[in-house]
Amino acid sequence: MTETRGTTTTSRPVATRTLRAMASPITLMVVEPGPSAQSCLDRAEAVIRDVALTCTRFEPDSPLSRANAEPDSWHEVPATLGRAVQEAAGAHTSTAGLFDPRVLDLLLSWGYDRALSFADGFVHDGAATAAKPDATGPWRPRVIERDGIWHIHLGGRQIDLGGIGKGLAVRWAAAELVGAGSGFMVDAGGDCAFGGIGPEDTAWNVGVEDPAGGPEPLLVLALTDTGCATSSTRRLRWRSGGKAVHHLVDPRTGLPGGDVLAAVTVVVADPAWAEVWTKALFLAGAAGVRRRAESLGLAAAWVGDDGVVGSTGLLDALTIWRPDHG
Amino acid sequence: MTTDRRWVALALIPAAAGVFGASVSWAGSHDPLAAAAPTTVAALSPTLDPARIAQEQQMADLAAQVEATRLRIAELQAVLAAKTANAQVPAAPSTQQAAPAPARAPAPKVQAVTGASG
Repeated sequence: MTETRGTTTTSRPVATRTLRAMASPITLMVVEPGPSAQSCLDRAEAVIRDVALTCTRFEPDSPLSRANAEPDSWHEVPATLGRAVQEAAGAHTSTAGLFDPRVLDLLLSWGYDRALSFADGFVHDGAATAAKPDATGPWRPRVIERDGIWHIHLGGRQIDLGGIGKGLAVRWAAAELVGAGSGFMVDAGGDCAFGGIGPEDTAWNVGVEDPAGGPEPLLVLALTDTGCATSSTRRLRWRSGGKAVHHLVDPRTGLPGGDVLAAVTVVVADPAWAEVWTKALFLAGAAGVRRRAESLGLAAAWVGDDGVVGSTGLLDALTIWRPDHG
Repeated sequence: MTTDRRWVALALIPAAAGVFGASVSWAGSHDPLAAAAPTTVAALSPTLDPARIAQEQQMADLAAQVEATRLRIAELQAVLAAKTANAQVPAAPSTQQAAPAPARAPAPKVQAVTGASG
């Protein structure tokens, strides 16, 4: 369902469109919309719906599901899926394997084989906890594009594009909104992109969610012309075989990663890569997240299971409010 | 003349006796301490309907509950009024008290929140 509305309750008029896709509420906003704003919003929405239909693993007839059914074969796929696999392969290499869409095997064995209801933050599932996955080695998918026809080979293992797929949807939707007004926003829950000036004549004010569920943000950031993403165990966690598990799997161990971390937020220009880096940082755990974030030169914040918030200097420069300082 | 008076007196005796008897009889039937005369029970008592009795009992219980609730509301209103009154009275300044902490600035209005999704 899609809803579009215009409003002038803010300092500047905005056109807003809301929809639901990829198991998330999506908000598209254009500040001071120009004549092309509605067509831009239409295209941005179409992009998001296309990614949702193409890259989902929860629909058996989706292009990704068909490729996953025979991961040892070549498949002709829509350009959207070809590009997504290409991006995922690049992320796998850039993160030295920390980003690995092959963890799908583990997620499935833990019972995450459908769009479970995570509304209450916890799902009890009777599936047994899986054994450690097969030895993997580097992931080497192959993607070929010729005359606009895309073929992929998944390298023998089925994959999950959930996280990076959403980041790519935000990236591609944001590209459709450039020029639609004096500013724009694509908000897909954890993954966002911001361009130009926000509706309050300032940068876009972005709250960093409290993973413990508190009503107040832990930080408020002032962002423009950038992407941001958060990986958190707040919602996608459940019990499998009597053990607590979540969706942020460490491919090195085959276990839920991010020791005593609850959430990581990263601000970088591209929302898809923001999503990738949040996972790579999360898997460093509370003990190593700062060192990894600083060594990568990332604007990042993290929250421990104890509620303590940490951040890099680059992110501090973007922070306009935090509860202890006001 | 004397004989005439005698005959009149004799004639009045039965009448007097009748009046006396009637008075005694009236008084007997109008004794305020006398128990009411038993009447026919069946004519005054309605038929005992167990369902109706139970219904009446239930209504009485409900009425009691309403009354108890009304009293409880009144108590709570009194407590609320007292607390409101106390809150409006500024505390007396004390040199022993630490300076109050500055009010924490509320979070600015945000256009988006980044967090768990999914």
